[in-house]
Amino acid sequence: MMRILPLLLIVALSFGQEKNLPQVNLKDMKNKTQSLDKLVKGKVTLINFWATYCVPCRKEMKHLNRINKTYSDQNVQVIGISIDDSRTVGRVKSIVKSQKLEYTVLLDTEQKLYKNFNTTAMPFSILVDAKGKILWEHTGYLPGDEAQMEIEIKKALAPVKKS
Amino acid sequence: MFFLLRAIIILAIPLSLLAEGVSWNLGLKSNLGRGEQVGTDYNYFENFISGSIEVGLWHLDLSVESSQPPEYGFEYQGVDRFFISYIGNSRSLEIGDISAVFGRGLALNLDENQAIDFDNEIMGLRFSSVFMENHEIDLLAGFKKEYRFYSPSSDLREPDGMAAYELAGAEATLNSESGMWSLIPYLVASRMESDFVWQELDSDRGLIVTDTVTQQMNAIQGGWGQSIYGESWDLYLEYNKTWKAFDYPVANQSIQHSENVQSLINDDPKYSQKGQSFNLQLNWFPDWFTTLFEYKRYLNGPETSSQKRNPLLLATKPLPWQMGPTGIREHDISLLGNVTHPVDYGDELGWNLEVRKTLSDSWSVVLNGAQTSQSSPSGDAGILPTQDLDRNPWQEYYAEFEYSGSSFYQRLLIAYTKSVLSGQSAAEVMEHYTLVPAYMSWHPNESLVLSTVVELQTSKVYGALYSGDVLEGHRFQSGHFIVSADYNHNYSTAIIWDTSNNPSLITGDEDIQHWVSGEVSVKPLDGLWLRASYGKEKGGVRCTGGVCRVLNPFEGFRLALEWRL
Repeated sequence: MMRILPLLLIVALSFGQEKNLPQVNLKDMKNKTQSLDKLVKGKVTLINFWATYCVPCRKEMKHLNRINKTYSDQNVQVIGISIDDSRTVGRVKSIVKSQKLEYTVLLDTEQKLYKNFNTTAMPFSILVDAKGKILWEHTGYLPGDEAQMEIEIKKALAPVKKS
Repeated sequence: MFFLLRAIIILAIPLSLLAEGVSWNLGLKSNLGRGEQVGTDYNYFENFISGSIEVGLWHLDLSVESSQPPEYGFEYQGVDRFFISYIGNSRSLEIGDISAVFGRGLALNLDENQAIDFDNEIMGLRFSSVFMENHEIDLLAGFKKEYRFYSPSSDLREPDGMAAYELAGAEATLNSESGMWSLIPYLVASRMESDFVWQELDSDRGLIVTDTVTQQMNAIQGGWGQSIYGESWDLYLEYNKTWKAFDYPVANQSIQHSENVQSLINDDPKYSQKGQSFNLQLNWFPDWFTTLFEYKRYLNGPETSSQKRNPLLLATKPLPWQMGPTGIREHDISLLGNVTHPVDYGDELGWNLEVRKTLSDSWSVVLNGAQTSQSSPSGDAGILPTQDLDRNPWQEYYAEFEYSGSSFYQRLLIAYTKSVLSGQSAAEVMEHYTLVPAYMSWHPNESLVLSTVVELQTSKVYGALYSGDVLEGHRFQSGHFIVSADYNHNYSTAIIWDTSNNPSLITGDEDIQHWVSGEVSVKPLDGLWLRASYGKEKGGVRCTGGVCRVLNPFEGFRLALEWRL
């Protein structure tokens, strides 16, 4: 049975459906549960998974902060999701405050959402449209990646503007 | 039953993918290579296919593993993770492999980490509900058939012991309407069975026999977490107590010989044990800097050093799911990561103070200091860690400067770390001075990123008798160097060189060893990565291609594939 699993999956994938952001409730930094689904509905959202001990994640943050500010009047938002586990999650606020991040930061301490994306790499970003459909995914951060993020955001905004 | 369940799942996945309104994720992760443990080479080939399907408010998560063997752990083929959840507006239900954290995990932290083959997740059920708009209740129950226990000092593939446990718990999160505070009380009840060595008198034969029996332990943990939020500060406190009861007592057993008679002495038998743990985190963030102060006092079963080394004595150790905050910083610097102190959740006091200051848009500075030690072996456990050599003390201080410009990034770090391994009558002391002069990347044009890492460490290892005499030791040097280039975000290449002489106090020598490896990563399609490495790799934190990973030591060829669909 195990041997035919990959075959069945490949057959299924050939009829691939769209990918939507999984429905999940996450805590914010004040311990309140937030429905991610509700937060992203109606806005183009760049979701960025990060951890306190990830250097490229910290390098990326100031660009995410700028993107959040620049596009906020065009119904675009950035949501940072820390995947620090309970051993290091206490350091999240220290980083958020020192970097003066103005975008929403949520805590995925049990990695409920992050595990859905079948990756172990950080940082990891996804762009979702106003209905929660995943438009773009990106792993890692190298200088210059922020330009690509802005291109993808503009692409996502284009059909919105037309309508 | 399991076959039927598997068949249903396997058929359900492709059929449900065909349906409208269904969202899915699928990933394949494979690692092929050669590893070494305690001088034994082995080849490994591990594969994980993970998929998740979302239909309305329902979610299915399934991971299948085929490892012959995996990089860590046993050979395994079958379902690795199975999880179904329903997430409604105010209620959620989860069935399957349950991970959960109560508070900050001092009392309950059910977790799976495939990278180090650690898994204490239970198979069970979890129900969460919002009540009175602002508050939540979380209930869970489940069991684990095979929890594998590895001694902290062990790097063997085979576990030192196995345990089975059942647990049930409840946690409430009570939030104030003003948003000024939240309170998290919780209670966990559990039963654990594990192997235990017990000597008994066989009255029929008149002999004293040694048996490996199953020891049963019942435990109750109760505690609370409390957050208080101010305008420019917040405080988190957590405290809990653990009560344990054993069927076989924990005792020092000895045989006494007298004229023609042997008698078995059970010295100070203990049928129960109490533990407690406390954690405090204070964040203070005025406009011009941020400070984090962390304090921990984990006394979940202080043991003698011989009890600590006894893997057939799980009952007196911290419970597998007692893993609170480390209270020390997790390092992304490879040479510092290698000397990081493993936290003893059974008996450790410690504090950590971190100050961060953003100097300008591009410059920032971080200062950090931390100390830990075991509690006092007799009487009062004490409040603060000590640097007494017989209590496994550890301390670290460092300063870090970071420049992050538009096309250039540089990080400079200097650190002092002192760690002590306390033995019966003497201690092994290691002092490390670490300098990271270059941790930088340069972005000369839109397509190319050049990076380099230079880490240097000089260390001294020596012995110290508790009587005060110092045994002669020796110095050793370590270096870690990476040169890497990334092109167009799709191609990456790196050369990694580690060098060190032997740090061991007993076998230390001046021979310098080198570990040199090369790595090429290619992203031929969106979502597909291929990474090939060749050479000899020391292992540790590696940051190449804009991604940091913890790599295990290897020699030879290694191929990793990650594919997300």
